[in-house]
Amino acid sequence: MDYKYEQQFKKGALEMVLLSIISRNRTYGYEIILNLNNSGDPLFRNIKEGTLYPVLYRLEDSGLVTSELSVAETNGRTKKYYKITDLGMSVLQDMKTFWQSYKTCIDKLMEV
Amino acid sequence: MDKEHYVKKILKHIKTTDKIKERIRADILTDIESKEESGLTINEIILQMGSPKEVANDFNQNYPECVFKNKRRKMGVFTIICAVISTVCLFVGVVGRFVYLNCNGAIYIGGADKPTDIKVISEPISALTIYNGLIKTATVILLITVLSAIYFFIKYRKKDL
Repeated sequence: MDYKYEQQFKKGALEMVLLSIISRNRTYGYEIILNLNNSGDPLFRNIKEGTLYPVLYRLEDSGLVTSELSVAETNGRTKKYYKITDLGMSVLQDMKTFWQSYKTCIDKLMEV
Repeated sequence: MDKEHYVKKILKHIKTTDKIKERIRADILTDIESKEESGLTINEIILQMGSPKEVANDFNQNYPECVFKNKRRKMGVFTIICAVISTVCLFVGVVGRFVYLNCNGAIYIGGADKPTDIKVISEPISALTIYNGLIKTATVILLITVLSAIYFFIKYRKKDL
């Protein structure tokens, strides 16, 4: 598929995917990248920092996630962690519901 | 190149405010340190992440609102500087002209009803020219500021939404 179309599809879904990953537990950027790389799906593999962080910043500015500098238990280094908010949880739920109906609708239309 | 130097170079190429740069700095440092923990050397990390310019370009492309905030801040600073300069020019020009005409032997002909257009000045006109120049300069600066503000508003109005 044309790279341009692929990017458009991914752009729309990335916010939901990131919210979903952060909703499991607090995490940091590199861990999210590893999560996406290890998911086995090539769709979001090799995502770059310059793509990931702007999306995280938008989620944070919308109040869906918060960030905090925290000392890692393993080595005492300070890391910037992202955590989902109550609003983020509720929006994620809405997104998932929408995604299901969206998927069903598009599948139906594509069958015709 | 050490990690601090690498991050500094990335931030140098990102066109945004210091506040957002600080936000990006914390994330990129966390990223690099996490990669170091997984056993990668700084050279391998740089190879993986890309050159500072490449990383910065990614941010600039994917985060256009941060570039806009920076431009808006620069526009704000430009407007304030222009407003201060034009106010000072206007004040000095108007007050200087008034004082000059009233205290330096300027004589108005007529005056019963209103002054005529003819005035006789006992000194060379150089000081008066300077004051008039200041008033004209203030007007030009003010005009440039207003036009720049209108241009900025039209160009970036859509990006702000």
